[in-house]
Formats: sequence, structure tokens, C-alpha cells
Amino acid sequence: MHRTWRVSLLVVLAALLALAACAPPATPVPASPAAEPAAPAAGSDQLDIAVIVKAVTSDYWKAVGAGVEQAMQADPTIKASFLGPNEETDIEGQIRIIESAIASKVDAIAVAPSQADQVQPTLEKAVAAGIPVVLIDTDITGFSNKAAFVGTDNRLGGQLGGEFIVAALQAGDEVAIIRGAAGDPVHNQREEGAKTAMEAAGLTVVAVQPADSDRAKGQTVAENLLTANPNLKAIFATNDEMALGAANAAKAAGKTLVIVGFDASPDALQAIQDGVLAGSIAQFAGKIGELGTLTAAQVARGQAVEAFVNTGVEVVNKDNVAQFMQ
Amino acid sequence: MTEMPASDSARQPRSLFGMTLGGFIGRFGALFGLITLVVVLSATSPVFLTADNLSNIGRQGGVNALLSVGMLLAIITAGIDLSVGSILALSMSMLALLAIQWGVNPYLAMLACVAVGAGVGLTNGLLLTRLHLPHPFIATLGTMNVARGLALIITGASPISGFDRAGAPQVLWLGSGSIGPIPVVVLVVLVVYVIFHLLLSNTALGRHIYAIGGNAAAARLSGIDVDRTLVIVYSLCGLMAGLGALVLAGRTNSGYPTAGVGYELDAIAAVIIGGASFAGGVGTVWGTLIGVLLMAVLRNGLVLLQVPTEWQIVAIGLVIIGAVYVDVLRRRAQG
Repeated sequence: MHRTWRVSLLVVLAALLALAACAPPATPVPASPAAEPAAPAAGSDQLDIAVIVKAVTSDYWKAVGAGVEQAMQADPTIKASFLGPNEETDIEGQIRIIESAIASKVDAIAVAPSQADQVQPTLEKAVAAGIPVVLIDTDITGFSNKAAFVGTDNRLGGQLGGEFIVAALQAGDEVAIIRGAAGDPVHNQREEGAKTAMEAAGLTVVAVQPADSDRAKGQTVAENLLTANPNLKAIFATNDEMALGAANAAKAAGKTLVIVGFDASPDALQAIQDGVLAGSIAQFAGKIGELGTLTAAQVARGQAVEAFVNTGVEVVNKDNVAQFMQ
Repeated sequence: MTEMPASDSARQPRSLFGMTLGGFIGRFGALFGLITLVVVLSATSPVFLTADNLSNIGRQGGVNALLSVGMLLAIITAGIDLSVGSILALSMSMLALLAIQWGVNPYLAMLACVAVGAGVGLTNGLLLTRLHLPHPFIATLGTMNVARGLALIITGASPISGFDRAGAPQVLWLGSGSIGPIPVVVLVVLVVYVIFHLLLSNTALGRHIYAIGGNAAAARLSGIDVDRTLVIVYSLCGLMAGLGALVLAGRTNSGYPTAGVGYELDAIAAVIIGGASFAGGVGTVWGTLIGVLLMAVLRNGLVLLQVPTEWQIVAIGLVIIGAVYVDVLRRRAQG
């Protein structure tokens, strides 16, 4: 009897593993191994740059990594290693990686900080050790020793989303905003940009609700918003997952709304092509990796750089969605 | 449901008492909260009592209702299942992978979705009883991580969406369909709750579940196969997570690996609000349903009333504390 149980336990575990094994490969190793020590630049002008992101496991960060590769092709004197923990929540892991980059005396560090407060002290250590720090993707406004910030202008992205909605509606129409976790600075900026643009054009923003960047929560919040505000004409969501949830809610309620998301994720692009979403704001992850690496190299060489390097945002709609889907 | 081996320890009479009268009163405390909330919302929001909004509440609470009734079994045995949110993500990802990417027959994919849930639940039970991990907190904390990781792996960390476009619209029925004005998910929840009620109150298995929570050693001495019962309990808990996955996939027309984060806490809150006790041996299906409704109505109502978001989070926390405290007060008054 005991044996049967043990065997069945093994069978279940084996089945789960088999399942995992036959799934498409999802998490390629980082471009360079994490522990690789930066060889001292042997008299040459070879630059060792550590690009440290929040996680190496998602499509978004993989695209950032591809940009790092491009920077190395553009400038062969750059030797960049693309590093990061396995999960965005592993802040400790990111700190360890930054510490080992400091220990191996790289020429510059480009980092997308997982959490401003927790990571900043370690970045200060890098600066104190004479290693310049460029922030990419996510800014730390209170970190005055950074050499530059390279990333998306989230406020501008929000503004473009708001203006897109303004163009589709008339003054006085009711709109709502569904945003990521309360307090998240990236979502604060997207929300502010959209809200300011819509209110300036005479639209009425009847509600701003958080849905934690989750599709199911976005759907629930949108259902409740549609119930409370039957005249709602448009929803701006600060990421695509919530926008797709809102689209489900609108469909279930039998309403046609102008729904705009943020990120231009593959699912959202498909939804735009199908006419379910009106638009989404694309940011350019590859550019963040590429310009982040190049900016770090410039700083390491002592060249002057802009304090904010804008990697661009663009509105994706039905007319240009095809070119984003390639 | 009151059958419990008469025995020894000083705590015993109290917990025996709590199970009968206290259980009833616990339910009453939460019911009082729910009624108050419904009255206040009906008076303050013109749309709260409309058919559309009530059906929204049913859809929004459906997944938590399914997870909670599984969690109830674990909590009655003085256990816990932290893995249900991750199981839901894994089952849902599997469903989307099979039905959308691999073009498997939708009904087979749905079966696989529920089977994956039950399978991980079974694993929880076996880890607990065969590997003798010290507490279900540990076993299910482990599988919580394993299941979440597997969900990320099989989906390549991206959502897989569009059951309708992939020719599997059948998947949408449970989560999005309705029969007349009533969402299908509400009917599913009612059927599941009646089955679990019968299981807990009219079967030997149900009596064993309560007995284990009251006093596992005594239950074992009185001839109950504790290990077998626990394996069944955690399998059912996983099965409910798989069913919840089916509903959420139908609701969102998607399977995504980040689904269900924190759902285990919502389920635990609903069960405890509904009068169950972490000490085990106490709790009813209908109390849990009231707990689920209380949370769903609260979340819905706070948005309808346009309560600022920061205060919504505070309010939900206060209601959890308040609902359980009413229960504590009443128990103390009676005991």
C-alpha cells in the first residue's frame, strides 16, 4: 500500500516534469554567464559594461537583451554582459549581481532597478568605487549620482494615449482610467499623462481605479465601472493586460468603447487587429537595451551625455498595427 | 457533523462547543455584516441592486467561491493550502496551451485543466502524508512555487489568448456564459456548494474531516484513516483550483501564468470570515459562501461608491478584521 502511494507520487512528479520538458523553451540563459569576471581591459580601450535588469525571464527583458547585443555590434570595443535574477521580485538577487559587478571592477553599470529604495544604496557603492551608473527602464528620481536615465517617457506615453482617446470622442464625454498597482511610479506617470491630456480637452474622467496590471482584475474593475457609469465612452489602461480585461467586460456588457492599453504586447496587437482594442502605446525595449549600453560606454569614456535619453513611444492603432506584428 | 471522539485534553470541550453552537454563531456574525453592507449599498448606490450588477458580483466572486470551498476542507482539518492560486495559474496555462496552441479537442483540454489541478492537489496530500512534511503550510508553500514556475515555463512567460479564435469557444461558456439572466458560474458554484455541503454533513468522509481537525490523534485512535482523508482533502482543494481555472479562463478568454497571485489569501479570508477556525474542526459551506459574498459585494460596492482606491484597500482590511472580531465576541459571550 505504501509502495503504491510512493509510486504514484513519483508518477505525478514525473508527469509534471515531462510536461515542463515538452513545452517550448522559455528561458534562455543570459547572453553572458552571470559569474563571468570582467577581465581587466588589457591596455586596450575595451570597455566592460554590466547591464543588469530586473529579470531575464520575460519577453520584455529578452527584447532589452537583444538591444544590448545590437549595441555590441555597433561598437565592437564594448563587451557587455546581460545579467539579472530570475524574477522581478528577487531584489536581493539583483543587489548581489550589482555587488559582484562592482567587485569585478567593470567600467560602467547600466541597471534597471527592481526597487528604488532597496537598490539605491548598492548603486551609491558603485559610484563611490568610481564606477559610473546609468539607470535604464526605471528611474530613481532621488538618486542624484546617476550618470543618466535611459528609458521610456511614461508621462508622454500616457499623454499620447489620452490624446488618442480625445480624438475619438467629444468634449464632455465620460472616460475612466484603469491603472497598475497603487503607488507604482511608472503607472503614476502614465496615469497623470493621460488624465491631464483628457481633462485639458474637456473629457470628464469619472474614475481612476487600480487593477494591479492583472487581466482578471482589470475585467472586474471595468465591469464595476461600466455599471456605475453607464455613459462611459472610453477606458485608458496603463498596461495591455488590464486593457484586454476591460475589453472582455465591454463585450460582455454589449457596449462598444474606445479602449487603449500600454506596452503593445503580442496579445494587444492581435486585439487591435481584431478591432477589440482601439490602440496601445508601444515602448521600445530593444532601444532601452541598446541606448542604455551605448550611453554607459560614453559615460565610461568620460564623454558628456544627456541626463534623460528618451527611447521613444508610439501609438499603435489599426492602421499601423501590421508593422508592429512582424 | 457533530460526531467527534469524546476525549481528553482541556481544550476539548470548548472546541466541541465551538463546533456546534459557535459554528452557527460565527456564520451569523458574517451574515450580519453582509446584510448591513447590502442595505447600505442599496441605499447609497442607485445601480447596486440592478440585475446587471448582481450578475457582475456573481461572476466576480465565482472563482473565489470555488477556491474557498476547497480551502474550507483544508482549514477544517486544521491545515491550509497556499498553492491554490498557483495551481489555478498552472491549470489555466495548460488549458490555453492545449486548446489554443496545440489545437487539442477543447473538452479534452478542459478535462486536462481540472486534472492538473487535482494532480497538484494530490501531490500536496502525498507530500504531507507520505514524505511527512511537518505542516501543510510547508508542503503547499513548496508546490505554490513549483506550480507557478511550471506555469511560467509552459507558457514561455506570456499570456496565451483567444479560445474563440482558436476554435474552442466551448471553453468560454463556464466563465462568460449565462442561462437566462443567471451567469453559468453562479449555477456551478451553487451545485458545487450543495455537493460539498452533503459531503461534509452526510458522509463518513465529512465526519472524518471534522474529527481530524478537532483532534487528529484521537481521530487516528478511533480508527479513522487520517492520511487517506488528508490526501482526499488536498486533492479536492486542487480540483477546485482546477475548476476555478476553467472559469477564469472562460472569463478572460485567456490562460496566463501570472493569474491568481494572492487568490489563496482571498480564499483563506472568505473561509475565516465565514466562521471557520484555524484551530480546525469548525466551519460550514454556507458560512464560507457568506464570506465569499461579503468580499465580492464589498469590492464591487467600493468601486460603485467611487471610494478612493487607497481607502478601498484599507476598508477591505478593516472588514476582514471586523467580521472575524464580531465572531470572536459572540463566541466569548456564549462560552
